[in-house]
Amino acid sequence: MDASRQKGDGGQLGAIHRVLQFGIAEAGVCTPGLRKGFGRQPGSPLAITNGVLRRHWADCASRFGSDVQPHTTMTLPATGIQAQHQQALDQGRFLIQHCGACGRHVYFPRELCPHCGALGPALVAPAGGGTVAAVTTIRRKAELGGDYTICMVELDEGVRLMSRVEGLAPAAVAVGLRVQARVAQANGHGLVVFDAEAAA
Amino acid sequence: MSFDLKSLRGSAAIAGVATFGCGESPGFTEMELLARAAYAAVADAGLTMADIDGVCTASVLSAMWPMPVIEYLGLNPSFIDGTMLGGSSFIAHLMPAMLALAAGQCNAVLVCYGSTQRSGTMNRKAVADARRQMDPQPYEMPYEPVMPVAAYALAASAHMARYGTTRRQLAEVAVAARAWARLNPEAFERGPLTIDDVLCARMVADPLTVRDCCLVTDGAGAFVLVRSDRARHLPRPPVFVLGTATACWHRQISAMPDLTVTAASQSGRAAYAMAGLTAADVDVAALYDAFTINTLLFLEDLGFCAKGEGGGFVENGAIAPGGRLAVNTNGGGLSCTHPGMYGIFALIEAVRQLRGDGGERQVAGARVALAHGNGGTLSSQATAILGTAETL
Repeated sequence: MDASRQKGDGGQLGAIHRVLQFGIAEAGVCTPGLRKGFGRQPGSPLAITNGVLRRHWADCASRFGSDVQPHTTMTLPATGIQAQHQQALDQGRFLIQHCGACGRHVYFPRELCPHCGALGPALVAPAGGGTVAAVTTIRRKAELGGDYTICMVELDEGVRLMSRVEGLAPAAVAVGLRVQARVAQANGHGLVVFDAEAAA
Repeated sequence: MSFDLKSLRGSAAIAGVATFGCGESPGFTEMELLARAAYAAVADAGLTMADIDGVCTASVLSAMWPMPVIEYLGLNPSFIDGTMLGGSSFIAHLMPAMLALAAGQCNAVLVCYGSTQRSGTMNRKAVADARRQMDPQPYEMPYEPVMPVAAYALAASAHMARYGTTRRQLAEVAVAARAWARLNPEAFERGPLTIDDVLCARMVADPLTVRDCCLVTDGAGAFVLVRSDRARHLPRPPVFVLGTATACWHRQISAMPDLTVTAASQSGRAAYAMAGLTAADVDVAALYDAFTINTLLFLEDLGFCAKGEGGGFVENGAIAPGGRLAVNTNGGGLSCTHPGMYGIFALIEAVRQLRGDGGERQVAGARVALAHGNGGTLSSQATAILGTAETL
């Protein structure tokens, strides 16, 4: 029986397969169902009740013979982590990630922790303090806007990112300078920039 | 089943090398330059195109490059590697090619590359704009880092801050490369160059002036790899691959764990281990010098000096002709040629030195050469230790 054509689940059964793809498909529990390629369009969050989920497990177990485990509710993220991070920036919030499995911070944001491989490090707000680890001044003709700096900033959480220090002449931005993060808005999008700590 | 890479030491040899169109080659396509270099390398090996049953190639512009190359050259390869790691690619192709040869998957591998970066109709700005779409780096691009120079400038900045490395020491690298280039008729830039010339040149991205940056040239390179037993019966002295390894830690410079330590420390360690050699055994080093800071980083990471001491190591002409270590004897990417992905040219120069084909720039008695490729923004690193027959 083709699960995608099963009646009476209001489309949720298919949706759950999508959830499993994000959630525990790694366990191989629902591989037969995932192959059907069904599921709703990604984009909106979906909460699933325990009852529906249990019916789904039972259904999968009977049809595919999978060794399924009971599980609590899960939510399908509306978007990938890159869009979530950008959406927060657009709202003025700078977020990095923290991995609950290994306890390390992560930047740039990823679906997997690059340190330990765990799924879905949580988005968290950094304290915002950091140190300039490297700096260069890009030489540009005055008529094109003049020179500007590019920095590598190491946040106090231990992650590094490319950014720039604003409010200082390029020559005043040096390795070791203490800086504080701020979200600037340009063209409708948030961008992480830094100010010298004393000026913050 | 356990398998020790050391058993591959010396199992394959480079039997033919060639370059074509290095410098300026207006009116040629990348494929045409590549084909000319490929033909010349195969001929140098004493073979014909019909003998080639393995191919390794990569292109900055084409994501499916092995197919048009196979089509154009009329090949029917049983071994194909199109791994694209930037400028380290062609050295990185060595290990899979050696494994394929050892397994009997193929008998003669052609590694080839061509670029019209200087004269091509699609200029570097157009390529950069296309790459923004094809290969986005959303956490860096908003800050408008002019790549790749901004990445290397950041690495230089960190090295200077941590180790006291000076702009003058960086300039030593460019001056040494030019001194070698002046001995190489194939080099693109052969005019005199002083440390002050480098320091006073137009600043591009602090601390790097335009003379700290590699050339932008056209050019093609190719080499042929065969099993060593066969190489001994071919016309040119075989250059044996004693050890090789590739390492990659990141893509974006902002994801590099430490701006002063490259993955060459890993690829070098593995290549030396396979070869059973150390930096002290190396007579000639060909280090991918996209920017002057590269040479310092690779001298350190490949064990020629301690971390942080690269600046001091190169002072007073120490890597120039007559210095303590022969580095980039062709003039390197800084003064010889740099069509975008230089790794294959580093390897070819190492082969030429071990064959004694170096002409005026020949390093007397060279038996062991190290060729090192770099790709991306200090991202991928591939090391090869090559030797003459007496090193087996």
